[in-house]
Amino acid sequence: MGLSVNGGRHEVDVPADEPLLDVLREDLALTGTKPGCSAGARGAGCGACTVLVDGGPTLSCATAVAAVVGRQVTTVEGLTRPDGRPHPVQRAFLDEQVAQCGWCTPAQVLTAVALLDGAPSPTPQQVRAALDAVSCRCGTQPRAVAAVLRAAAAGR
Amino acid sequence: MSVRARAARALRHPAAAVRRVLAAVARPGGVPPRLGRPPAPSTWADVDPDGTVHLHPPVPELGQGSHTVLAQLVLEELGGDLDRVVVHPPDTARGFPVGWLTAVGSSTAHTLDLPARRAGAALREGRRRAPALRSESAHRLVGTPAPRVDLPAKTSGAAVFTTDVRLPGMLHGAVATPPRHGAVLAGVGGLARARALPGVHAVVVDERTGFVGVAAARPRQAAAALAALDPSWTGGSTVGEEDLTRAVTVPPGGGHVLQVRGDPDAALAAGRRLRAEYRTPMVAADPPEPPAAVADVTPSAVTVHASTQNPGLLRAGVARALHRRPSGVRVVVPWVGGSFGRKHGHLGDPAADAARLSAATGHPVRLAWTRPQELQQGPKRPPTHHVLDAALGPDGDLVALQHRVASGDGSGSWPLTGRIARAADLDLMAVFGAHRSTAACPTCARRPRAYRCPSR
Repeated sequence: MGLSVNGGRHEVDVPADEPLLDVLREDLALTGTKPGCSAGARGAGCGACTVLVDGGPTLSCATAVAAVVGRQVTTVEGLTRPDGRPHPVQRAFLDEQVAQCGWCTPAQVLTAVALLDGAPSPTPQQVRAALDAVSCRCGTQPRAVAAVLRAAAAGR
Repeated sequence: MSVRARAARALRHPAAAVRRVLAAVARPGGVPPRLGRPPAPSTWADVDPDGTVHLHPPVPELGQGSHTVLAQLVLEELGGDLDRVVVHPPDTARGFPVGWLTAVGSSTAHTLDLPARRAGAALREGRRRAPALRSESAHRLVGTPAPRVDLPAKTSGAAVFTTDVRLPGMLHGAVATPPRHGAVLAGVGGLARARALPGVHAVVVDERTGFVGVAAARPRQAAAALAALDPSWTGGSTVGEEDLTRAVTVPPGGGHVLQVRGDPDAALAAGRRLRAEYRTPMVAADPPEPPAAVADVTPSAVTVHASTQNPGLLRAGVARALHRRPSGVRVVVPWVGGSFGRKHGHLGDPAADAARLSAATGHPVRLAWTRPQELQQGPKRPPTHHVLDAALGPDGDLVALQHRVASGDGSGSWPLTGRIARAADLDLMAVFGAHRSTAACPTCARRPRAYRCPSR
């Protein structure tokens, strides 16, 4: 089946109900998307496997690959500019030195990109509510919120 | 004295053993413990003709920033800027002295301060023996904020964690874990059914060691094969919060006295008494990256990529499982997706299991625990119970302080001191806490006291 990922077309030969997470990581070698809680399908996701489907944050561990045929999938690898420069949200995450262990960082970044697409000038409360979808065990939340607000300010 | 002899002595005299460890590492000022003097050489670095500095740190980066600190230390002597440093994962093939150094207890920077600076000085001077180090007042990097060397890759998604390691022909493993603590494998049904499923390369059962594992081409196929098996388990126990509270409770008397200063009994009897009581629950560290390993076992070589704080212990476990010499096992530690003490022990470590599956299939095998496995079977920090008795003098000053602490066996999460902790059935970190809390009142009559509680 044909997939659109990070602006490119990919053919994969996998069962229709294969988790999108596994297809991205194992078939397309896009390992920036992380497995986390094994429980996204039960609605209690940790958020580490978040990708954007048509711009909206989606738990890839709980999404069958067939469900994204004909839609645009964006992973963290798709954010970096063609010339290698980081996306403005990634730039802000570096400026604020957000990551510690880094496991949930790609999901935080993608969640922030989706938020700023819909709300270019979010309130701190909106940022916190959006980032709440991604569990961080290291305690990077305050810096992540600061980074998203910084990216929003830079985009104005 | 050998480790074995020390452990034997600790078993005979647990209170003395705990006091010795306290004396060695528990400093009243709260300075993190230094793990003695590391074996030399411990820290390797080299420089390309274009000035790029390659750093091969001897301890894993768990997210705490240790590799950035080590880069700062090397550059403090070598000169140059952090953006010229390429930090490589710890790798026994690059001089990493496995078996001694672990990333634990906030000890990395403290322990490797001198070795890292000496490596930088030796590179600067091009001599084997390090020249004199720069004085602290001349430092320009150490102690200053610096951008983390690992963050560009972690923010772009390019960072490779153990769970991201991909080797040619690699299979995906899954292992069964017992449904109750201490349960023993009695038998496994459904073997033929599991072996017939698509993508399955091997179903491995070893009733002697309780091992039930599968290896398949895709992660979901491995999960399906494991689900098709029907292992039966006997014995074991399910422990609930009430059982833990009952087991870990400071009793009226007894215990190991860790230190006595002054006459606490007299001071407590004479002053105005205060009592405070605290409990901490059992804690699952629950690192974001579940415990994972990628093992590649061939007749002539063994390589294990592992998400661990303690590569030496892990290497010994892999060697034991394969009946090979530890020196024949190469260990690489990519970025670790959080750990919080969890990945420091041999309990619940998937590396040896991944190696067994790799040996059985002739393919590299990646094996990661699922979150439910981690929450149920991963080693936990034991619960603690604290009873503090204090006495106030006529002026309201603290004149006596007794801190009694009860805890379970901390050896699962703290194997560095595990032999001694097991001997005493104490969580040494909780014991350190009792020691420090009383030491915080230097003028008091004081007595920290610890109680052992059965671990299971």
